[in-house]
Amino acid sequence: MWWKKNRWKIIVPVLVLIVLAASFWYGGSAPGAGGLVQDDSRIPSVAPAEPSAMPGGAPPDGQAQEVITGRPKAPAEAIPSHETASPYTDAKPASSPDNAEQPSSGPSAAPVTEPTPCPTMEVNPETGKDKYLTDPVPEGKPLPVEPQDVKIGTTAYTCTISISCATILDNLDLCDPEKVELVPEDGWILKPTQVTLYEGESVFNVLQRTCKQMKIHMEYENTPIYNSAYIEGIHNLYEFDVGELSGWMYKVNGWFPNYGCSRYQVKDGDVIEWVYTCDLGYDVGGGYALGT
Amino acid sequence: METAAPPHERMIHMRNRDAFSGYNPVINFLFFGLVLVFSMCLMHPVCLAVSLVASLSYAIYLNGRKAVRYSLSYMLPMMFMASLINPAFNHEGATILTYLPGGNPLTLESILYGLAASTMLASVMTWFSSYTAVMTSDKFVYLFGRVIPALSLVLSMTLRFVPKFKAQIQVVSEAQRCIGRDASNGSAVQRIKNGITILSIMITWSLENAIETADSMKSRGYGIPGRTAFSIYRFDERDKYALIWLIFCGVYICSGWAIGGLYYRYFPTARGVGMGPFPISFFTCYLALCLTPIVINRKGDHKWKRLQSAI
Repeated sequence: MWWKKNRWKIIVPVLVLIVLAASFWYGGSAPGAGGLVQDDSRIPSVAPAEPSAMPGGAPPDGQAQEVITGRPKAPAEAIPSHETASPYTDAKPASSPDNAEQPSSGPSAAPVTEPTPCPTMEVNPETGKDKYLTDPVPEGKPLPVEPQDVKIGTTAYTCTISISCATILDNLDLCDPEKVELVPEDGWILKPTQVTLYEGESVFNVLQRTCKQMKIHMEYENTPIYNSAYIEGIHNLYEFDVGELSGWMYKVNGWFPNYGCSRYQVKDGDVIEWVYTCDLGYDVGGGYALGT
Repeated sequence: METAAPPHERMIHMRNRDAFSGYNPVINFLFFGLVLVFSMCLMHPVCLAVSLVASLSYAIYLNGRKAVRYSLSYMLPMMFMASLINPAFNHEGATILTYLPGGNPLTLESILYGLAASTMLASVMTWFSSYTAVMTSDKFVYLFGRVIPALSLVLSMTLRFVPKFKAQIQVVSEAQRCIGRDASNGSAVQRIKNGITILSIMITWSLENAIETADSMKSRGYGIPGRTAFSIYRFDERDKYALIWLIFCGVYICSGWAIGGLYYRYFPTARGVGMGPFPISFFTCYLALCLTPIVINRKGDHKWKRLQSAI
């Protein structure tokens, strides 16, 4: 009797639950489709990659660092120390002699206790981020430059840009079947190429112009909250086309900046690499939480 | 409140709109269900064209000049808008035509997809206009009154709401005009005031009407188990053949869909199955399915003419 009276009250919620579970499962959240299983395997795989990619560690070549920072380094820091020094001590604010060497950073003269590594980055003390939600930039790396403050000059420099989606080759089973044909055999959409760069231009400007010149498809979206363009797709390979953790990332001189590509001002001789990640950056050496 | 319509008018309301409407509601509902699902899901250009043409011709058969006017004055601009708006937001596609002022590419594929999506939208809307003409609320309640009594009553009341509201607003506005308080009387401010009064009357009326309908249905014992409902529909030979035909078409098109015989993609390049014996058989079957009511109506009309001339 009770069952006869209330069966629909039980059958209907059960059906709804089954439908929801099925859509969750087949919607890409199933283990193996970039979800739970990969989460476990990621932890050991990250650990060895981290010291070299860690922002506090020494960059691959000293020359590049000089270009970015444009200021002399203390000799102790120039020695590749990532084997011995923990990233945390490395990432701490500059030692006092380093600060004293800078002529321009007088007014804000950060006290040693302040966690901001760079005196010119305005960080909200409550959130620990700047007004575009960027965490403090690791020491020795260029600060974000707001595109609306920049006047593009006429002085021409050169930089190197490359676009690669080699990680898709390892994840072809996750790739959208309609997009497989787009993936080049060697993964290079654009091999490292010397391009002209005008003074004050951002990584985004360079990418956009290069794609137009090379007839490579590129779609972006402006995200005001980060004050930057977000690259949704290059060469018709879009974010989320290879699993839920996929999308485009960029690095300059081997470092994945922790801010958007419109805010990264390119310098003469910089090496820009656009790479497609299938695992939130862990498969290209710039993990999701890089820098924190 | 309810004024009884003159007998001849009531006859018109009771009469079926066309021969297809005279079939069992199961057939009507199954047909519209199949056609709507296929129109929404099959994005092959041939399928879209078939669906649009068939839906328009059926709507014109049912509603005559009104359907033509509606599709020209609403559908055409809507399709135009949709095919313009899509490339403004969607920049995917391998064929870059030019660059938009914002810096994103304008691609051929996004224009094609906009056209396809707007065709799909227009054909679905046209099918629904035929659906409301054929599937009257009594047919709907006949089909679902036993299985889901509360929901089917709510649905039929909701579907009836807009036409009923329009009719009632006419009545109220005419009554107000008699005492000089219509939205067309007086100064601009007075007109607005009168309009708001009429709106307030209408909202009160619709709330009260909904409760009255629910109470009325309850007092008649609607939805109580064991209670039978009068219905004028029967399921005879022609309904059986129609059901077999609809199931055959549905299964054949679904199987073609499942094996990829109707495959078409718009991104990153627009392409899909071309013209082969199998795809053509699926398209033909789809066309036959979509034209089913028109064929039935034509046959009915011919029979009627022949019988008339034989007298």
